[in-house]
Amino acid sequence: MLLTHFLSATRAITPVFDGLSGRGSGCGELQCWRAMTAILFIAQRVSAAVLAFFVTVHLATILYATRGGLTAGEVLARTRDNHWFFAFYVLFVLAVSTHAPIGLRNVIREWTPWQGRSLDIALAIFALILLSTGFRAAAAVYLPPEALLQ
Amino acid sequence: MMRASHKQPGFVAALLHRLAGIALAIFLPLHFWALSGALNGADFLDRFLKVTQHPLVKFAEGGIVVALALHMALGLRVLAIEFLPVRERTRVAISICLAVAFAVGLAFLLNVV
Repeated sequence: MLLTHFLSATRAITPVFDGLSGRGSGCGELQCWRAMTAILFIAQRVSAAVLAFFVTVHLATILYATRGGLTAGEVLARTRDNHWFFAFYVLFVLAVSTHAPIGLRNVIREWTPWQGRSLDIALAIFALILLSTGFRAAAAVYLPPEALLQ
Repeated sequence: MMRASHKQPGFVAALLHRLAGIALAIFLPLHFWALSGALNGADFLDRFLKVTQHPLVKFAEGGIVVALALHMALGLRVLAIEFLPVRERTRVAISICLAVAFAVGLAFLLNVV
């Protein structure tokens, strides 16, 4: 229902979905650009809605975990072999790797002269860096030490 | 140059939202790198956590927590404006967002100091 709501709202700002669904005249350069803009807009908003939940839980965890100091032992005792924790942070990393590069793209395009394909490639690389380092971080605190040695 | 529109509360909200987002985008890879240190064992992570005991680092951590809470609160405001049939009072919304962010930041700093 939420996705339907996002899609209908996006339809209100761009007619590009008619073109994408074959009802229009095909995907020309301008239309493809508008299609990408619409897709990035939806991805940004959907990931934002998902992140609202993840960030709330993450902030609550930070406040809980930092009571009386923080040690590696305490952190790892909570996270090692904890499937829920691992699933939560894998999805968190996926959402943030979608959200952050699109947000940066908007900021850079509006505040600097940097536009076009080189910017998109740079931010795609940034997204891959976030994905790889994020998954690595989640695995590092989830996997038991004996699994890391193999 | 300061335009009249730059003094509008909506502009201030957008500016704060973006600045907090940029700070988080810079911080995230460093955060992930630090957590990945657990791959080298709990000792590495403990050594890293000792570095974070420095007052300046704690203050910076508090800033990042405030940025995270502020970015989320102002982001929810954007989602509400775009997708919900609500009439927003921008000044009130910004005040609530700032209050939430600083309350979370203060709670964090009271925990770690």
